[in-house]
Amino acid sequence: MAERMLETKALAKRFGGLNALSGVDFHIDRGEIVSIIGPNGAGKTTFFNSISGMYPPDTGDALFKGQSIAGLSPDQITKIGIARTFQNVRLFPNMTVLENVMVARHCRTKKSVIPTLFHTPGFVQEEKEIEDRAKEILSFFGKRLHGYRWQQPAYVLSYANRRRLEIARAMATDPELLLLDEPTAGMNPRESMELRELIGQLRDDWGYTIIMIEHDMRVVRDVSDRVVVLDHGVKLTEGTYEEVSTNPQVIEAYLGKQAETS
Amino acid sequence: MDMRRVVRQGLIGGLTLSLIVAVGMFQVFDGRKVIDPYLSAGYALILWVPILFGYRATRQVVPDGAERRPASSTDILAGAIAGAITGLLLGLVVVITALKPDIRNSFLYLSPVMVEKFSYGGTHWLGAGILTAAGAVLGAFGGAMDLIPTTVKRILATVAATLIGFNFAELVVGDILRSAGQNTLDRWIYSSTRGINPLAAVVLSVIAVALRLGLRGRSGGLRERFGNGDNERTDNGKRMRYLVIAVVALAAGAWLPNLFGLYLNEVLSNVGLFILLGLGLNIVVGYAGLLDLGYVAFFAVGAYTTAILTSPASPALAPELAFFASLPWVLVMAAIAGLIIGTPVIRMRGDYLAIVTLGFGEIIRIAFLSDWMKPITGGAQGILRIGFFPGESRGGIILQWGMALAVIGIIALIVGLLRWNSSRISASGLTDIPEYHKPTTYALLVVGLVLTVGGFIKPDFATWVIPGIHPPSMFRIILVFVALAAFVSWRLRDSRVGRSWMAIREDEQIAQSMGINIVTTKLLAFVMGAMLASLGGALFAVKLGSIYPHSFEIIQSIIILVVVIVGGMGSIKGVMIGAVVLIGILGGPTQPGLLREFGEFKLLIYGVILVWMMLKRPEGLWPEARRAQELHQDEMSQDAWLQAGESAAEGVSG
Amino acid sequence: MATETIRVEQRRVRADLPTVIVDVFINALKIFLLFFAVWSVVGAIGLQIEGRLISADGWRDVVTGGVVQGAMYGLVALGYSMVYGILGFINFAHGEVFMVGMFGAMFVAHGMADNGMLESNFFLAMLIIIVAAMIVSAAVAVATEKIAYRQLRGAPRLIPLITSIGVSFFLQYAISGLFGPGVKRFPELPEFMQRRYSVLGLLVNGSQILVIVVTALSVVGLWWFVTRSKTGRAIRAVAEDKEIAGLMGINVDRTVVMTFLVGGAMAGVAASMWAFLYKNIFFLSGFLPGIKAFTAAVLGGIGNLPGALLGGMTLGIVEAAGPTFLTALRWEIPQVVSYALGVLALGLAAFGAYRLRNKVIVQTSTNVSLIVLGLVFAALAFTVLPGFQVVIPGASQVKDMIAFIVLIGVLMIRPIGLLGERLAVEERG
Repeated sequence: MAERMLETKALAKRFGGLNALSGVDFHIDRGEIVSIIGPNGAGKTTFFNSISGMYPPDTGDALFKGQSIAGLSPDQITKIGIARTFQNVRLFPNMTVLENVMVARHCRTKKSVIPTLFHTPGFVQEEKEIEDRAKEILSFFGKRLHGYRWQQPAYVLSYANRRRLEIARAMATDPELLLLDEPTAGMNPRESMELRELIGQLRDDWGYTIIMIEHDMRVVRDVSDRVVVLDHGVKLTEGTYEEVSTNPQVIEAYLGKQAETS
Repeated sequence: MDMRRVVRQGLIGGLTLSLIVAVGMFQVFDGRKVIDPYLSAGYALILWVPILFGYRATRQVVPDGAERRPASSTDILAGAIAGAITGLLLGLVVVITALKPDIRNSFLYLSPVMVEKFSYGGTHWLGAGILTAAGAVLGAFGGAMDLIPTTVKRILATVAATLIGFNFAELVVGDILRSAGQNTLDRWIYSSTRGINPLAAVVLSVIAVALRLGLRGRSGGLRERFGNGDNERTDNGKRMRYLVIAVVALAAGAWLPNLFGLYLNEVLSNVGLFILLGLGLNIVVGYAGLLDLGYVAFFAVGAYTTAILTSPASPALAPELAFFASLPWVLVMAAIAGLIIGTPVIRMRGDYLAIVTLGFGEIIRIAFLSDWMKPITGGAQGILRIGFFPGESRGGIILQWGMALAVIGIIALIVGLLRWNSSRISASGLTDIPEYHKPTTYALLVVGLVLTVGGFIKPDFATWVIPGIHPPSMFRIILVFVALAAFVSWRLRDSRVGRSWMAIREDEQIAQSMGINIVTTKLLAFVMGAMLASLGGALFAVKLGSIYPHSFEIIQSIIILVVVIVGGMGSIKGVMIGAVVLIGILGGPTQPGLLREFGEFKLLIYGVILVWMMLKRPEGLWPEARRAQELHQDEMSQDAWLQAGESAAEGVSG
Repeated sequence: MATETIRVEQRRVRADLPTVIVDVFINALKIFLLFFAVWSVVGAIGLQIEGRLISADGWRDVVTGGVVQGAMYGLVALGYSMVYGILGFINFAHGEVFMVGMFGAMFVAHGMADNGMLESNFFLAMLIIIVAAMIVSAAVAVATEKIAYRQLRGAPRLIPLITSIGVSFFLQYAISGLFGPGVKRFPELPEFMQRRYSVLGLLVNGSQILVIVVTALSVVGLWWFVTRSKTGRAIRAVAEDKEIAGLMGINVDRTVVMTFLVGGAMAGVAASMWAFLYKNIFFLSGFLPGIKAFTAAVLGGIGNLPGALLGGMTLGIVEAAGPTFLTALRWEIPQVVSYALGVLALGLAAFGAYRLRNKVIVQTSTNVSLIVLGLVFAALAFTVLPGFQVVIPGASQVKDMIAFIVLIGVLMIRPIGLLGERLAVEERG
C-alpha cells in the first residue's frame, strides 16, 4: 500500500453557531487525486482552510505523513509540503507574473539581508535558481504564461490565466500535497478541458498528490481516483465517481428530498 | 448649464478664498513680489481660485461611455457666475470686517489692514465690487478653458510656471548667478525686493515659451528612439545606466554646496535628512505596507543615543565617543527599539498597528520628557554640546580618512574573497555557480588589501573636521548616508526579502499561505526602517548640537509620511523628489524651506496635500512603474465582468 | 520534463525559532504589564491600609474625576465606534471634530457672557452652548465625510486612515490660522456651578454634576435614536451589511452622513462639557482626547456602542487613578510573597518543561515561554524582588502614557475589547 499522505481524524470547526465541519475523517495516499464535492456551503473550503492552517480546526487532528499538523501556522504547513490555491483567486495583483511565482520560493530559500546587500555569490546563485525554477514552472502552462507575460503585473491577466498563475505559485513551494480549490471555475469548456489534462500531468510528471474541490462533474469524472462528498460539514459518502454519482444520498443532497409520491 | 453645480462650486471657491485670506496667508505672501511691482505672490495665491472653480463649474459629470457635450459659450457664462460668487464671498468678508471691526478679536487676520488692501483706494464697498467683477472675469476664463486652443493654454501655463518658478527659486537662481560672478545678470532679473523685473519677466517668458514649443516638435521623435532602446536593453545595460546616473547624481550633489550660500545649504541638508528618513519609512510603509505612525520614535532613539554617547554634558554616562564610534551603538539601539516596538504590534490589523505605533512614539517622547527619565535624557532641558570636539566649544564630526578607507578596504576584500572562492568552486565544474570576471576580482582583492593595511597603519593621514553648524560640509556627509540608504533600499527591493515584503503588503494572509513567515518578515522591515531612521537621528543630533524632546513630536512622523506618500510609496526616486519638493520648498516641521513665507501655514498645507494626494493620486507623483495601478484597483475593469462570469459558471456547474 | 519530480528532502515539522522568540517576548510583555498592574493594585491596598497613600477624600476625588472624564471620553468614543462599525476605518480627525466643537462652544459662551445671559439664565445659556457645539461639530464631521471620505469607500483600509490624518492636520492648523495659536479661555461660570454639593455621600462639583446629567441625557437620546427611529434602524442595517442594506432600499450615503452627524453631535456635547470643565482651549486640544477616546472605543469593543461608553468610563477611572497607582509601586513586595511567587514560577517552568516533552508543536511557544519566563521570574523573585520598589518621580507627568499603555495592553491581551467588536460584514477580517 502506498504511503499515507494526509489523514484527518474527526476534524471539526465551528463558526459562531454554525457547524462548518463536524467530525470529518478523510485520507489520501501518495499519488492519488481525490475530489471533494458537495453543494454550496457544505464545508469544502473550510476543510481546506483547516488543513492549510488558515483557520485551525477546533477539535480533531490532521496528520501529514504521520505528523500532526493541526494548529500549525500556514507558513509552517506550506514549508512541510502542502500548498493550495483559492476559490476566489488571490494573487499578488501588483507584482509581476514572475514575481508572483518567485515569491513562493521563499520558504525553500534562505538568503537574508547581509548577502542581499553585498550580492554575495551565494545570493546571486540563489536568485538565479529562484528565477530559473519560476520560469520552469511557468513554462508548464505552455505559451500562456510565457515570455512577455513574465514582466506583466498579475492584475492584467485574464481570469483563466490568474487561475493558472495561482497553480504555478502553489507549485513553486515544492509541495507534496496540492490543494486545488475549484481550479476550473469561470473557465470556458476548452480551457477547462486543457486544465483537466494539466492536473493529470501534475500527478504523473510532477509527482504531486492532489485534493481538489470541484463543481464541474466532467472534470471530477475525468481526473479523480476517488470522490468524497461533503454536506453540511459531514462526510456523506466516498468512492469512485460512478459509485458516488449514483448514490441516492448524494442526489438528495444536491437536488433536495424528492416530494413523496402518494 | 447646471445652476446648482455652478452655485455650489462658486460657494466652495469663495470659502477657499476666504480661508486663504482669513488665516493670513494672502497678507503674508502679499509682501513677496512675483513681478515687481505689478503682481504679488499673495495674488498669485488667490487668482487661481476663481479660475479653478469657474472651470469646475462647467465640468460635466458624464457616465462612462456617454457622449460629452461639446464646450459652448454658455460655459463662459457659467464660469463667470461661479467666479463672481467666489469673488463676492471674499468681498462680503471684507465688508463684514469693515463694518464690524471687533471681529478681529476672534479672527486674527480679518483686520483693517486687510480691508484697506482690498479696498483699492476706495471704500470697502468698492473693494467688494472689484473683487466680484475680477472673480467673474477670472471665472469666465476658467469656464472657457475647453474653448481655448491647446497651444494658447500651453503658452499661458508655461509663462505662469516660469514666472512662479523663477520667483520661488529666487534664492537658488540668485546664489548660482552670484557664485558664477554674474551679479549684473542677477540685478537685471531681480529687483531690490527680489521680485522679477517686468522686462526680465517678459524676456524669460518668451525664452521659456520658445523652448517649450520648440522642444515639443522634436520630443516625439526622441521618445520613440529612446523607447526602442529601452526594450532592447539588457539587464546589464540597465544596471550600467543606473550606476552612471547614481555616480553623476552623487558628484553633482557633492558639488552643489559650492554654488549656494549658507541658507540654501541649510535647506539642502534638511532635504537630505528627510530623504534619509523617508527612505527608512519607505521600507516600512512602502515596501511592507505597515503604516508606522510612531516612526519618529526611532529617530529619537538615534538622536538620543548619539547625544548620550558623544556629549560631555550628557547627564548619565558620558563616554564622549566620536561621532563615528557612536554609530554602531546607534544602530544596535535602533534595532532593539525596532524589535521592542515591532513585536507587540506584529499580529495586529493594519489600522490598529498605525495607532499603536503612534502610541509608542508618544510614550517615548513623554518618557524622555519626564522627571523619571531625566537622569538619562535630561528632561525638558535635553542634551547639549553633542559631539563636541575635545577641548573645543563646537561640535561635529571628525572624519579620519584612514579609517574610512580601511572600512571600504575590508568590504572590498570580503567581496573579492567571496568572488574568488565562488570562481574557484565554479572552475571545478561541479556546480553552476556563476564565474566572475577574473581581473575585477583580483583588483578588488589587491585594492582591498592595500586600503585595509594602509588605513590601519596610518588612520589619521588625512582628517576632516566637520563642524555641525557648517551646512555645506554637513550636507556632504548626509549625502553619503543618503546614498547608503538608497543603495540598501534598492538592493533589498529586488531580492527575496523585498519580494516577501511586497507580498505581505499585497495580501498578508496569502503571503503567509505561500510560506512566508510574517512575524520575521515584518520585524525585519521594522528593524531596517528603524536603523535608517536612527542614522537620520544621529546626524540630526550632531548637526544641531543639542536635542530636546519637543523635536520628536508626532508631526515629524506625519511629515515624513507625507514625503513618502507624495513621492510614491515604495519608490526610491519618489521619496527623493518628494523630499526635495516638500522639504525644499515648504520646509520641515521646524526647518524653513525656500519660501520662508510658508512658515506658519506649512502644516496646514501638509494636511491639504495629504488629503488631496489620497483622493486623487494615492500612488504618489513619481510611483514605481509597476505600482502605478496599485491603489486604483477599481480600475481593473475586467474584474466585475469576470466575477459575474464566475458566479454564472458556478451556477451552471453546481 | 516528463521525468521531472521534485526533490524532497526529509521535511520535519519544527517550531520556527524566530516565531517562538517573538511569542516568548510577547508573553513576557503581557506578564510584565499584568505584574505591574497587580503590584500597583496590591501596593495601593497595602499602602492604604498603612495610611501612607492618599486620604479617603482623595479617593472620592479620583473616582468622581474619573467618572466625569470617562463620560466625556465615552461620548467622543461613540463617534469613533460608529464610524468604524460602518466604514471600517479609524476617523483620526474625530478628535479635531471635538476640538472644533470646543471652539464653537467657547465663542457662543463668550457671547452669552457678554450679554449677561450666562449669569442670569444659566441653564438656557448652557443648552444653547451645547446645541451650538453640537451643530458645529456635526457640520464639520459631515463636511469631512462629503468632501473626503465619501470618495474612498472600498479603497484599501489604510487610505481613508491616512486621509483622516490629513483632515486632522488641516483642521488643527486652519483653526490655529483663523483664531491664532494661543490658548483661549472659556468664560467663568456662575458661582453655584463651582460650589461643591454632596451627592450620595460624595462631594461633587456643580459642573461635574452637570457633565454627568448631560452625558446621561445624550446617551438616552442616542439610545432612543439608534434603536427606535427609522434612521437609527437604517444605521444598524448598514453597519451589518452595506450591500444588503442598499438592496433593501436604504439610502446608504444618507445613512453614512447620519452616522457622521450623530457621532459629530455627540463629540460636540463632549466638547462643550470639556470646555466647561477645563476652560483652556487651543488648536491641539483635540489630539490627546481623541486618541484616548479611540482607546476607549477599542477597550469597550469597537463598533459596540455600550462598549464605547463602558470603555470611556473604564479609561477615565484608570487614568484618574493611574498616578496614584504608579506611586503605589513604591510599596515593597514582602519577602514571603516574593518567595511564594518564585516557587509558583518554578512550578510553571517545570510544567512547561514537562509539556515540552510531548512535542506538540503548536504548544511550543507557550511551553518555552513558561520555562524561560518562569525561570527568569523565579530568579528575580529570589534575588532582587523582595523589598524591591519603583519610585517614579512626577508620576502625574506620565499620566498621558497610561492611555497608550492601556491601548497596547488591550490589543495584546484582548483585541476585541471588553464587550466584543461589532463590525460590518465587509470589515470582518
